[in-house]
Amino acid sequence: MSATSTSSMININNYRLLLSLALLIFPISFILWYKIKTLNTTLIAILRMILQLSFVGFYLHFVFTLNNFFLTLAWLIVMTVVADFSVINHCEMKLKYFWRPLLIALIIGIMIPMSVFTLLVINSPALFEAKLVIPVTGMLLGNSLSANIVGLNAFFEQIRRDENRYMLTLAQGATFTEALRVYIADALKMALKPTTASMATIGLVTLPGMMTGLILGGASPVEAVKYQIGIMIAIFSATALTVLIGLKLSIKSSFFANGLLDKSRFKN
Amino acid sequence: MNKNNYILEIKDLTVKFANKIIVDKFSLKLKEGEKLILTGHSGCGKSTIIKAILGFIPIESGKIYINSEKLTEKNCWELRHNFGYVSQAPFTGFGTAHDFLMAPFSFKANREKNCSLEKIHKLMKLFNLQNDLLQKNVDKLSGGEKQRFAIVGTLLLEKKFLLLDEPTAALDKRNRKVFENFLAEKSNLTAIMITHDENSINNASQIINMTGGVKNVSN
Repeated sequence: MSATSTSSMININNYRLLLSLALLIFPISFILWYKIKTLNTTLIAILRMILQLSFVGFYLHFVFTLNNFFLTLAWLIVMTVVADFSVINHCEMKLKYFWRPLLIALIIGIMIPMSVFTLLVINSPALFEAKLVIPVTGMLLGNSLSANIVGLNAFFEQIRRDENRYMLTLAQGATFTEALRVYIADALKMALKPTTASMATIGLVTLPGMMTGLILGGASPVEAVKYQIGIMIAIFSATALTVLIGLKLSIKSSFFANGLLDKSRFKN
Repeated sequence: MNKNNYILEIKDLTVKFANKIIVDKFSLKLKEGEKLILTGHSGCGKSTIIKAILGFIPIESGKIYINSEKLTEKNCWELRHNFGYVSQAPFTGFGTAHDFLMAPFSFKANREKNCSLEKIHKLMKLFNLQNDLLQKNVDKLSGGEKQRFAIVGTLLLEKKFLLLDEPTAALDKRNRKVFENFLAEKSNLTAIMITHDENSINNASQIINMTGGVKNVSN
């Protein structure tokens, strides 16, 4: 795959970027008109998005230019730890019991597809090429983060809701693994659903981010599609790996020796 | 193994939830073939005792012996195999009634057991369940049908000790009588049954009324 030319990329002038804010008139006016109590949250979210992305833009420019192994690694660690905390927070889990299992799940589950995609598919000479590894990890992490939130929430909520059924299964002679199997399968199914749906409609309903970015950056659609197919498979693999490893390791931190869920390990 | 002849012995069992005493120094002894009725108002700890026997409830103090073996967090997995359990709440999410009945036979612990369709039909007939209900989704069954399938499912496992948490609460008079007669006829079957009707087992060897923590044991 040839290097993409930046000459054909259309640069956005800063003043013109401000014009995009005009589009906010629609959602903001709807919020005001219907008196939805989310105006502050929405405005803060928009502001955070602008500030965070601006910071990341400048920071990544710096990181890409230096292309230093340790600086790249440090940024990857920050990304993974933020994703780890975000999953725990959204699943109402207590940090001290779950930060380690989920961090391990994210590291293993991202490293494998990321290495295959960058080293074998793209055939990059180095795994830690900053401008390759950071965006790819970001995409894998972002998708894994939401899949883990869906999967872990589904698993623990179902175990709580079906406590009687779960106890009956244990009383009928099921081992711990046998009793949890159906719940793990359901959680995995739920977690993989969005990625599966997105793969089924990709290209027809949506033009995904990576492909759009490459096309806007000057790559031919055919080349952009190759990247997109590779990344979609990597995302699907990362999602499945992180969710399953995350579930298996979280289970070790959240059940009593008698097989029942230790509810004190959760915030609610 | 069974040195003192008791299949189940509970000594001064105390269970607490959030610093509230649910069961206070409860004791009982049960020999093989005996039937025990546990009664008392809702919330007096009847279900807690059954769950404690199955190792589901952390015990504050006291001891439970099953076939003279002290129940612990670790051996509860093995000791659970002694019991057939009918839980209070209707089961959900098992697919069809047939799926529900067959699920336990996929577990390693029950793989050696034989569960033929003939055996299922025989038990279903006994509890006035039509064969075509087997293909019905459990969520579509009535409360009484669910409860009878729960009983059939437990009996299919052929356990010698049944723990029954209000197994007849959703049954009509006719089916309640069928179940009560079934239990009474099985002289080698040991059972603990939670019920609000003290006369539900004709030959009950013990009746314990737990209301107010008072244990009224009669033979």
